[in-house]
This record gives sequence, C-alpha cells and structure tokens, in this order.
Amino acid sequence: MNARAKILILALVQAGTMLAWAGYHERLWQTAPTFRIALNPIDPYDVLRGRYFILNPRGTAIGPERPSEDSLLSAAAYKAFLGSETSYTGKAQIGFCSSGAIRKICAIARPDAPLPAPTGALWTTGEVNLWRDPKKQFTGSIDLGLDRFFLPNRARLPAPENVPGWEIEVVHRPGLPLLPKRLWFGGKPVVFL
Amino acid sequence: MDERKVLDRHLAAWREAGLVAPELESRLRASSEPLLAREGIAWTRWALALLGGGLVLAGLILIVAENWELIPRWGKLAGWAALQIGFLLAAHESGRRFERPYLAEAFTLLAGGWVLAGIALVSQIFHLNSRPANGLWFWLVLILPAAWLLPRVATAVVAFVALVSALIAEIGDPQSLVAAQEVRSPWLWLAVPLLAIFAVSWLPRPAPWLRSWVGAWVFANAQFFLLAFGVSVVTNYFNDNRLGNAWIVAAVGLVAAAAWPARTLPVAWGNWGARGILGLSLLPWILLLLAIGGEASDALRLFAVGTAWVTQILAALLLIRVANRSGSALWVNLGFLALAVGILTRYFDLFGDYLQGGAALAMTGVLVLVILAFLESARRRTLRDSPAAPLAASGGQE
Repeated sequence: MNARAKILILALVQAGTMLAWAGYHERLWQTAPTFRIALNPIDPYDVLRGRYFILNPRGTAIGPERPSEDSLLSAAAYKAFLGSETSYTGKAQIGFCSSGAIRKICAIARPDAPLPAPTGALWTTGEVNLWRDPKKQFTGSIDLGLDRFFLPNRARLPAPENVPGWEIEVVHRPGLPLLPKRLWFGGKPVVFL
Repeated sequence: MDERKVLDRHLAAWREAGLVAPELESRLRASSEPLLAREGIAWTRWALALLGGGLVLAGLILIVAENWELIPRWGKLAGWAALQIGFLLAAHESGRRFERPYLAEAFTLLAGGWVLAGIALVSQIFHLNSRPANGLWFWLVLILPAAWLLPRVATAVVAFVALVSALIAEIGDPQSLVAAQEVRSPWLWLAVPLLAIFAVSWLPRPAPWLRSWVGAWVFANAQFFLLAFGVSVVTNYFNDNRLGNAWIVAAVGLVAAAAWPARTLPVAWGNWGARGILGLSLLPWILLLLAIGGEASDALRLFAVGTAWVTQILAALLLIRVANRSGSALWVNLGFLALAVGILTRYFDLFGDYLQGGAALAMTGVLVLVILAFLESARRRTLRDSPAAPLAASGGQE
C-alpha cells in the first residue's frame, strides 16, 4: 500500500468516525422518544463559546423557597431517598411524569435501587445533591446534565429569555442522561437549521 | 536552500567530475552529519506555516458560524469531511510531489486543528454537554495515527497541544479521577508540559525544538514561583501543596523528566543540569512536604522561604553553567536575565520598606545600574570564554 493510500484511509477513518458520531445523534433525534421540560433560561454571550442558553431547567432546585409548581417531588420522596442518611451527593435515577403538555420530575432513586412507583414515569440518570438540615427541611439540587443550548449567532428569538414559556424538548434514552433536541416557546418549537 | 541540499548538489557535481569516489562520498557525508544535525530551524517558515494554517482554520470556522442557519446540518458535516480529506491529501502531496515541506507542515497543522473543529461542530449541532476533557481526548485519538502516516513534524506539535489541553481539562474538572485540588504551587505547571513532551517524544517525528519551548516554560515558571514563594509567608498563597488526585499527573510528569531529561528538556541543559534545575526549582515545596503531620511549622516555612531565595539564584547559575558548556548563548542570556531579576527582587524584598526620599531612590538607581553593569560584563565574559562551539549561533535547536 503506498503512502497516498494510507493517508486517504486515515482521512476516511477520521471523517467516518465523526460522521458516525453525528449519525448516532441524528438517529436518536429521529427515532428516540422525546418530551419537554420547562426552563428558566439565561442568555449569556461568551467570546469562546459564542451565543447560548444556560438552560436552567425548572424543578431542579430543592428547598423550601422553590416554587412548588415546578416539581412533583414531595418531602416523603426526599425522605425515602435519603433513608437514614442526612445527605447524599452522587448519581441517581430521576423519573419524569406527565403534567399537561410537559413532564416534571416526580421521583428520584439511588442508582442501584429498583425503580419505584409512580408507574408511567420515564426514568433517566443525573446527579442529586440532597441534605436534610436540622429543621428537617430538605435542600439541594438535581443536575440533569442539561447545561447549555447553542444558539446561532444571528438567530432571532421569539421572546427574551426572561419571559416565561421557554421549554426544552429532550431525547429520552432509558438509563442514560437526557439529550437536548430543540427549544420551544409558548407551546411552539423554535426552529434552527 | 538548506545545508543538506547544498551538500547534495556539491557532492553530485564532484561525483560527475570524477573528483570523489563513492566510498569517499559516504565518508564525507558521515563526517558532515553532526554539523547537519545542528542545522538551524527555519523559524520564519514555521511562523508563516502556523500563521497561515491558523488563519485558514479561524476563517473557515467563522464562515460556518456566520452562516449557521443557511447551511443544513448535514451540509456542515459533509463540508467538514470533504475539507479534512482535502487537507490531509494536500499535506501529503505538497510535501512529496511539489517539494514544499513547510506548506505540507501548514496543511498538517490545519488538518489537526480541523479535527478539533469537527468535534466542536458535532457538539454544537447536537448540543452535547459532555466534559471538555472528553472532546480533547477524542481529538488526540483521532490525530495520533497521522504521526505515523504523515512524515511531518507538525503531527507532533498538534499531538503536544492536544495532550496538554486534555491534561489541563482533566485536572481542572472536579469530577475527574485526577482532579486538582489546588494549583498554587509549581508541581502541575511544570509537570503537565513535561508529561506531554515526554509522551510526544516517542512519536516517529517528535519535533526536538518543542523541548526548548518546554524548557523555557519550565524555567520561567519555576523562577516565577521561586521569586513569589517569599510572599507566601504573609499571604500563604504559593505554598499550597494540596494537589488532590492530580498528584498522579505531577508525579508521572516529573519522574519522566528526571529519568529521561534527553526526551523532555533542552539538549543545552545536559542530563544532570536538567535534573539539577528541576530539583532546585521544586526544593522549597519538597521541604514543605516533609512537615510532620502535614502542617508545616513557622520555622519550616521560614526555612523553605530561605531555600527558595537560594535555589532561585542557584538554578539561574546552574543554567548559565550548563548552557555555557554546551555553547548555547540563548540559554546563557536567559540565565543571566533570571539572575538579574532575582537579585533585584531580593534587594527590594529586603530594603523596599526603607526606600523613602530622593537620596534613597537615587542610590538605589545607582546600585541597580552597577549590578546590571556587573552582570552584563560577566555575561560577555562567559560567552567569550565558552568552552564549546556556539550551538545557538545557528539560531537553532537550542
């Protein structure tokens, strides 16, 4: 095999690997089930990263001051999750249940625990940081791995990011973290090519 | 034209004229080989190759970013793939068929950078939020085979950049197995590039001049930390030895550098000179590691500060000595610069509080001039009396 053929094979391997990686995600977008989560996005501009949303999904903050309508989790669920411990930081299974047109977090479980009720929940993985303070109140956060959503430089948004109504459509892969697919606003998808 | 080509041309002419027999020609070539090995690096061509490759890369990325909504996502990916194939073939053909080695190096750099751009492109299209270190390791894996397939030094440069970036991202990620707890000590600043250059040194074309850059980085950083170490008695800032699990990276990098200085640090430093400079640079922090129970006493801290004062000067003197023996004017100059900075810093450390009023300032100015004149005189004398042929006169590897 001559040198040129080897270079061509290298180029094809590099291009093929990248296209296969992209193809896997394209296939997920086309075939995997999706659902929507409500957001409180932030729209910063970073010289290196360009323009993007910090997604900031609703219902991921745990504490007495969080809006109760953002999450379907109850104090009993936190209590069951912690068991005899006073705090937990690490991976967890996170269940989403329907709430109108979107889904909200409705259950959490330890990584190795059998999936509990409620039935009908879609389970994904993330990280839970939860502790019980001396007043027996639960505080912490749930990290779904949904950090950023890239926005094209010249994209025009249907509304400022601080207006309520933003949602993210996510790809659900059982037992794996959620993947962002597209933004929604006011019940309609925001289309970027 | 480089020296090797000139030699080839002359030997060919002499062979045709019947002046040299094949045996004599091979002996002449063998005798010239050490001189050719010291041939300087064409920095201008390298700089232009870097500038050209970098500008093309930045321009292409901007074109895609500015027209993101106009180009469908599979159009972007297909364009990326076509250009990558084109860059690699251009790197190969421009070197082999058109005999334009620096153009080939520029295309190789471009192809290496374009792989990272491709990873960023897929991540942006599909909004992937993985750890940055994952993307950089992926980059390294994809470009590494080129080091064996493309006869270009730029493959080692790209691999070095990829490895340094991946290691930095890895130790900077709190979730990583080798996450750094603190970076306010020289361990990681020295060890990361040393580990990367050590790994790259095993590639088929390892770019020996990268060792000079790593040497400059190591020496400059070590000097900075040694000069700033004294401040830490008050601020407790630069003496933090808590590396977390990143001690693994630090240990591997420093052990590799100490065991194989010829693979990691400049030739002009020599093996024992390189070990000595590295050891002196880290000695104050090593002393703090000896603290019983992990918490250094005030006496030990004070002793470590005194050690830093001494080792900063000693490291500069050692560099001057080893560089002078190998005939590297560049490193000798750098050593004297470090010596001057060290003496002036310590002067102001000791007497800074007393320098009030015009007379004190004027006297300080005179003293500074006297010190600099003395050092300049010593520098010239050192270079004049150098026992070795000036390696750096070639402007090259050292």
